[in-house]
Amino acid sequence: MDKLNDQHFINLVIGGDTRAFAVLVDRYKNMVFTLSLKMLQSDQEAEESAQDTFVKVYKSLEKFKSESKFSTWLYKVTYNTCLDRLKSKKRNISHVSVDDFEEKDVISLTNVLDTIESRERKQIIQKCLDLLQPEDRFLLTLYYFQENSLKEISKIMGINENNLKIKLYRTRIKIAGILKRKLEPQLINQYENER
Amino acid sequence: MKTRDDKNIQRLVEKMMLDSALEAPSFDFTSKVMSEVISMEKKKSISYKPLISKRAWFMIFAAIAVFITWLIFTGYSAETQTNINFNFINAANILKVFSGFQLSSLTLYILLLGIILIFLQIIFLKSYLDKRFEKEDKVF
Repeated sequence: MDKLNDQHFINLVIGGDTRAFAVLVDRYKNMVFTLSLKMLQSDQEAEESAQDTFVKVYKSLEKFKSESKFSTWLYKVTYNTCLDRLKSKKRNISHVSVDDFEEKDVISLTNVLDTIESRERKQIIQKCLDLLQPEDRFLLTLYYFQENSLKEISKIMGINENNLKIKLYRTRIKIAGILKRKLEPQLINQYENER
Repeated sequence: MKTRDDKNIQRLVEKMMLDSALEAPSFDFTSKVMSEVISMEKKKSISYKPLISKRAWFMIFAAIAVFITWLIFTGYSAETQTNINFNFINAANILKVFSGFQLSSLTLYILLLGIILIFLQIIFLKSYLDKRFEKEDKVF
């Protein structure tokens, strides 16, 4: 249904009704902005990048092939625009080692996370996300927010499906590892209470 | 054991991601994008476009070249195919029409002055329009 609606507005824009593009911008601006923010970690830059993305999409709207979803194409442009910005700034990206986990650790982490107050929890999660690589943050956002299929994400990020599965698995482990380090004091308390 | 661990990690990360909300850009984001898009459209409609495109010129020259080569190779000559009578275009006859036509020197001076003024106007108008065009271009 959404795809049909998108196509309707795309046709209007191609037919010369520039204003119809505003509907598409309104529909996708939050997701495009969130994805850009996750990659660039700066409100101002994310807004500029999201704007660039929509202008780029507008310019090449005639080239859009309706076999794929409009959102898939839009997120692909978002991803590439952010990558270009990151490349031009030559950011130093922190590398986080992949930790080993035991089942006990993961369950304790989930329990500790539940005990933290909502606002503080959001801040901790944001700090954990900030320590991931931009591509990993982008991948997690696409996967969990829009529930995009792996097939679609592989088209957006230009990675084949099998490699994407591995990347997703490693990213999950990485973020859980970061969370474990962040919640170390609370985890120790919990273990002591269990004794 | 491994798959159970994976499932737990999956659940943990899902929980984390659902806690970090979808962000929203500034309230005037759409209007900013639209003003950029509309100004881009205006620029496109104002920008100089030659009446005959490069492609059209290329096709015209190609057609002329083909025609000339065809003429050379088929040995076309004026003597062989002059079925059309061009006699009706006779310059002497046309000039005869104006033979009785005379202008006073005053009319001639006025006409000359008029022609000079028209040419001056063309120059001024062109520079005026060029300046206005540049100004509009800067605005968008």
